[in-house]
Amino acid sequence: MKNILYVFVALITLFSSCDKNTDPVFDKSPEQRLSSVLSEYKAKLTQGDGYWIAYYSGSAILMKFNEDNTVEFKSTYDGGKEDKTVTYRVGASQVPELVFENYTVFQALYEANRSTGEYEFLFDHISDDRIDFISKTDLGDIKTKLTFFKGTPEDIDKVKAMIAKFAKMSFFKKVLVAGTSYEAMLITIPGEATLQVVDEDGSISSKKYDFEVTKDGLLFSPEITIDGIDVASFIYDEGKGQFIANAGGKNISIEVGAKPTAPQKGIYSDFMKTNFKVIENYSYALDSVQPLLKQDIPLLSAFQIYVQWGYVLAYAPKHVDGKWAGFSAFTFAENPDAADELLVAWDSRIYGQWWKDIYYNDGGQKLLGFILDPNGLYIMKAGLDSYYLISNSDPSQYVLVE
Amino acid sequence: MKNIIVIFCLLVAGLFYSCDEGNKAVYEPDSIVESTDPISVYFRENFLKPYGTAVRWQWVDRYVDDSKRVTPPFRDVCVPMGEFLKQFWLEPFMITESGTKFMKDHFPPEIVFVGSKMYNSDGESITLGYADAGVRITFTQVNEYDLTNKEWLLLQLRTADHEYGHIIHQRHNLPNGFKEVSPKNYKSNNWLNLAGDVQASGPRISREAISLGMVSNYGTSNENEDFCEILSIYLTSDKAEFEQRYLTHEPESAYQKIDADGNPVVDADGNPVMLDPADDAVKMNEGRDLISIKLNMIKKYYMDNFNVDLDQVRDEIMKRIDEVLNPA
Repeated sequence: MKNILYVFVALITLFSSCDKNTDPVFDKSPEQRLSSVLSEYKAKLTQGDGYWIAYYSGSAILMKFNEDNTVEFKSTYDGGKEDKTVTYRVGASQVPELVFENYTVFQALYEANRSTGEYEFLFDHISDDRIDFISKTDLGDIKTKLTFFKGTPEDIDKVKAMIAKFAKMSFFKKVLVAGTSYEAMLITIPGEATLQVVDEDGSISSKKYDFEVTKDGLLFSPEITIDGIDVASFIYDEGKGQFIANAGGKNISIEVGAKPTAPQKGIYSDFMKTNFKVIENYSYALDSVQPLLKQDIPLLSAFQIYVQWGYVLAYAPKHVDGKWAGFSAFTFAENPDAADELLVAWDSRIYGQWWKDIYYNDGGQKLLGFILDPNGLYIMKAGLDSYYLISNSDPSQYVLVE
Repeated sequence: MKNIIVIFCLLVAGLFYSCDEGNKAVYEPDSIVESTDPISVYFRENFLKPYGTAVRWQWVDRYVDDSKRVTPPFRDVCVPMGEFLKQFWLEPFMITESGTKFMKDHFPPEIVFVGSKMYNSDGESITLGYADAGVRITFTQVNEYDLTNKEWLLLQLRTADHEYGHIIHQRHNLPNGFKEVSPKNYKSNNWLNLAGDVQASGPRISREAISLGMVSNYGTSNENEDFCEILSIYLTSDKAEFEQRYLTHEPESAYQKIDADGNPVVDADGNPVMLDPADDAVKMNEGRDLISIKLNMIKKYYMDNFNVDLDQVRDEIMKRIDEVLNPA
């Protein structure tokens, strides 16, 4: 009897010791499961003809992912100078990531804007028509996101056509929500949109959003909030000449006008109070100014405007022939025909040793032509001491000065 | 009792047998397929097979300190960069049999190419190329590849020779007595604050550093960097320029001005035009004597240990630099 008890105990031991191996939760090892996920992600990238399009940092980037681990890039960045074919891999450091193994337009965009640029992305969500990524290197609370949309070979040309269309649109873009009295102004410069709302007390509140021109409209990431409604994208309605979105059960439109609804009273004297200003950004219609000038003045940092002293100077801090050059004897005056608008005249005087590099450059001519608009410039408040100057003759031409 | 023991043994045997089933699920990774990418093939044939060196030209972020921001190399510059390293770093040592053995014995197991400068987390300041524990040398600014750009060429070559110096002293120690030549002159992190720039960058060199017996500001940080800086700057400098800057004494008392052609200058009355010596002339010359002592130690160390004549290597490097910068 005692012996039978020993055998029974041995049997219990046998079954309990083996029990742990008999019911695995997964059929495969963690390595096999990870490998399977990575294969699935790669299959998604190469599915169909392998085309995906992303909109990032003011540029559209079309990618064709091939089975042989190469990816072909085409982009709107810098006239396509960074269009390359490189190898890629879908790998995993902590979580699955897409790695471009050599220099691409993403790194070019990072190098152009190192304080905020991103170039390493982790897979977040994946579906048949879009793949969402999160920045791997963004240490901020709100991580930079990037979305690949399923694309076609023609997408990049469509984006270029839309950008060309958008570049010709006036500064004055009104945001309306159908069925409400909501009205706001949307100011766009490449990569950044500012939504300005006039509050009940007459003060202006502004909020900035990243946005991109897409093949068929506008994309905001993160979403823009209009009258409490979050909107990610607008589609351009060719017939109406408007951008349309339907969100939160409301029809939202961006209408483009030729003039401000009303001049901001007293803005001319406000503008003239501070002598020194820097041109911080250019509209799409003027965004070739700086790149063109940099061909002749590689060290060019920015243009400076001295409204009281009458100078418009290029600043190139390490230029061997002096930091500044440009033009003097400008008169910045209130337009006699339109209150609170600016009229600029120039007595054709020059300043500094390398003024010719500006004057005989297409970018320099474009900038001078804009400033000296014979019909004057609208002035619109941008921030505490920053303003938009907008061409009266062609309101698609405008700059941000601070 | 005997039957029970048999049954028990059978059960235990069954236990091990049954448990063994689970082990069959252990993951067996797929066999590694060698890349057929032409760039991979090039580095396999030219670096991995002859020297056991893996060149990391495809982006893997763990090769770079995660507090740094860098971009990967252009595909187009990877093979030219490999050729540059062969032509200007490897081959000048390999003009002799003993030099060939020296390079094959010590060439680093891993080389990493980074396309951009190595930006610190602020996105603005940068770190130059560096070596990790004597096994990996990282080259930055590879995307600026331009053999006609002397500044770039010397940056890369000095990185190579400097970091290679670390591999040598880590394996064979510093030359005997090297640490005793100027032990009190090392500044640790204060090397950043030395005064009297002779050369602002590539590398930064000051009169204060030379007075302390070092060839660059960075060389004053400790004896290991001192060794590597003397080595790399000596190997990549014109003989006459090196001697003029680091070895030849400058006047310590008033001296006659010499014109560009080397002739003594006189005034309208035929009297010599005299110049005052630099305030730190005596200290500078003392520092030069220290540099001379350490340089001779390094040359003897390379000759005694590896039968490598550094003068011969330097002449070969400078000949190649001259050929590329001043083509016939």
